[in-house]
Amino acid sequence: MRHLLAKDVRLVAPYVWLILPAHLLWCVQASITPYLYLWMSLAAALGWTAAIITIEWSTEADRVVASLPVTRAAIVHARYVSALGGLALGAVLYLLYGYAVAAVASQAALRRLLGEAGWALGEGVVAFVAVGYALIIVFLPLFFRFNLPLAASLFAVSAGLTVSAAMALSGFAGFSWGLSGASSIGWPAWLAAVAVAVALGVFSTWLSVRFYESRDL
Amino acid sequence: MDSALEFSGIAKNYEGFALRKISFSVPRGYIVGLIGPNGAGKTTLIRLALGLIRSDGGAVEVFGRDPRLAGADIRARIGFVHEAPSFYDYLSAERVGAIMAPFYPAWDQTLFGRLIAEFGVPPRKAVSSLSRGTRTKLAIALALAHRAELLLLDEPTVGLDPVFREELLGRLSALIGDGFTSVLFSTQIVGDLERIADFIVLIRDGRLLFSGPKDDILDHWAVVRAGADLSAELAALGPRGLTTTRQGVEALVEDIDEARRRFGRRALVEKATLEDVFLLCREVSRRES
Repeated sequence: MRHLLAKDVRLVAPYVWLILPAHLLWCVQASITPYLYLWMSLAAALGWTAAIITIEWSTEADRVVASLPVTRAAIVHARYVSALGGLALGAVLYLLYGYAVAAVASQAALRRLLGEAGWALGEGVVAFVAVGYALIIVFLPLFFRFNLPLAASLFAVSAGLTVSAAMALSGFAGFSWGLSGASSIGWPAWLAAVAVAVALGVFSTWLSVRFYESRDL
Repeated sequence: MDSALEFSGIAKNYEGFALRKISFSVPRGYIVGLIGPNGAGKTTLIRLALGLIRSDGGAVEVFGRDPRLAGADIRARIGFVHEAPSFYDYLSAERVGAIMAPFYPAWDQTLFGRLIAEFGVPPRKAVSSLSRGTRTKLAIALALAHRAELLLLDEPTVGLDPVFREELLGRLSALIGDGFTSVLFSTQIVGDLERIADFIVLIRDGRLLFSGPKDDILDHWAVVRAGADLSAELAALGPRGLTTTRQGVEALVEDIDEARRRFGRRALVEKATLEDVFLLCREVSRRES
């Protein structure tokens, strides 16, 4: 699997330099419409996976990859690890930029620009990871079952529903605000939430492996 | 004879096309030429051998194992060139090689570098800027660089200049000299196979029309060209193919000696070429269907 991950890194390597300036843009955007910071950062983090998948689809490289000495299951597992790795990297950047802004701006300015909710704080990153994770485990089974255009269409519908549900919990101001009380939840509830998320992730992976193993390329 | 690749009654159904119970094998240390017109099923067979698609019947075995179940192990021993060589187009040949290399335990970086240099593939230019022929050369270099035991080449000579085609055929001949490497070479350019193939497999419309040693064809088969009045007599001979032309009829028969004996001076009897087999067996298929 590490060769597949190395492949993904090599594929996006020519574009890695874009990551930091793109996040800087998100910060500027955040100063105008702070709640968008979460969604734009998420889009950037998931863009890693989207870029690799689009590159492989557009160059028909998926057939070449499947002809390499790897199992279909390994290809699926690597895609999940790669997507989750991108999400983790995005979460780190989300925090770093958030804290960087917090470090240079006065608290009054932050409150004025960003409102009371701390978009760069713990709740924000929980929202970031939760929504990103949900999108990944919904999209990838679709991707491995169908070709990219159909998977993307189905995903757009399912992602729309996921994000709408997230926003419905907290209002348009953003999911992070909805989770602003997350830190007050006790450990058992956190553990239960993480266990459910892991179970869903395992199920999503299992489904993707089954889909991909039975797919003709 | 030990087989590197074996199809046994393999079937695959698509909408509007079906492979019908095809059986043949690629013996170790030999080159098998797979010929057939567009849409005959050549690419489908190669995808089956790579485990990219599932069969709807029969079995395919690569080194004695099902490629879908034992894919990773056996694919390390396979070199492939897909019909339309596809890569990460924005990367250079050098980078594509760097991506592929770690997957193959037997990858020889020196050999890869030497091959792309000899083939004239620019190592640092984006693959997208290369011609179709040069992309094919890169695909061939990638297939050869890990010293595969079985090469699955799907139309590898399309888009290649005659000089490189000659070179490629020479390389393939040299490769099987070790008695270890086997090649399944799909093509419509039958002249390529006349020179290097040991066995010929001819398919059309998903049906196997012929499978056997190339020399059997070249030594024994004949094309009989005669007036239309001999049509019935030729048909009674049970030819592999029979077609009507402006001048009369042409028949492909398996025994040149018998054809000469029976038709003597009444018809023109010539040794068959692979081109004749390719063209005339198409007619048989049409007639049978």
